[in-house]
Amino acid sequence: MIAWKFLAPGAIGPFSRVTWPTPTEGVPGLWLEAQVHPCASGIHACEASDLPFWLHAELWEVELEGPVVRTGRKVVAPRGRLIQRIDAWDRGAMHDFCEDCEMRVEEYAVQSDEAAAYVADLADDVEDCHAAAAGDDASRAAEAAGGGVLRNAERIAQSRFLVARLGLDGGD
Amino acid sequence: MSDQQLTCEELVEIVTEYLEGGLSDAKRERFEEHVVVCSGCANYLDQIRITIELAGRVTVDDLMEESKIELLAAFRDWRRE
Repeated sequence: MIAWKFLAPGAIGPFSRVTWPTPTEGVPGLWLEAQVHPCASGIHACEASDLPFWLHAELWEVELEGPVVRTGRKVVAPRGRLIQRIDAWDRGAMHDFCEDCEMRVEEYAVQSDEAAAYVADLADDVEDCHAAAAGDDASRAAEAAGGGVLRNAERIAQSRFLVARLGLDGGD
Repeated sequence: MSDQQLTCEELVEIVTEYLEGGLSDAKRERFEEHVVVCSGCANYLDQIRITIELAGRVTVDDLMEESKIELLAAFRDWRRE
């Protein structure tokens, strides 16, 4: 299965702190293996629909092998390896993502005073180019304006933006 | 699923459980989702990890008697607050 994984700079797992073996000259990185326990251990990645929840510095296409378990907002497998880095996920894409979120928050702000409180936060997120914070703030603004339904719709919009902007396929 | 978002205060309270693998799957996911968006808590988590790594090498016997007394007093005062 092909999935996606955000890593810290240097191909480091943001939570496990494991350094992933990276591909060289088109050859995928070495396989990493771990016993599967959905959140505590295993090789974690996500499908395209869950990308907005895990935004980090580097985005990689990963191949998962073995029984893949979907749990919450991630998928977990006993084996995984990096196929290629998604170079399109760069500072420009992060900035565009923030602006895309900001645009929708301005619409939510018209519907609700509580949502309007997030306009300033989004402006900060755009200035800081903090994509994860922008996604989170936008989902909170959406919830303030239209409850859980609009919050989920906002996350879907974020995911669609990423898939289109980064030219992703095969994740879902 | 992680609809109810964790606050920074809640994260601080459960950081040890997180690092020891004691959280439920749902709570662990909420914890990690919070760390993704909150740079302050991400830094805090890194600091705790480093502290554990360094302090993990220290045994009770390594502490001077004076330090033990100071630490115990500090914890007693903290619990009274």
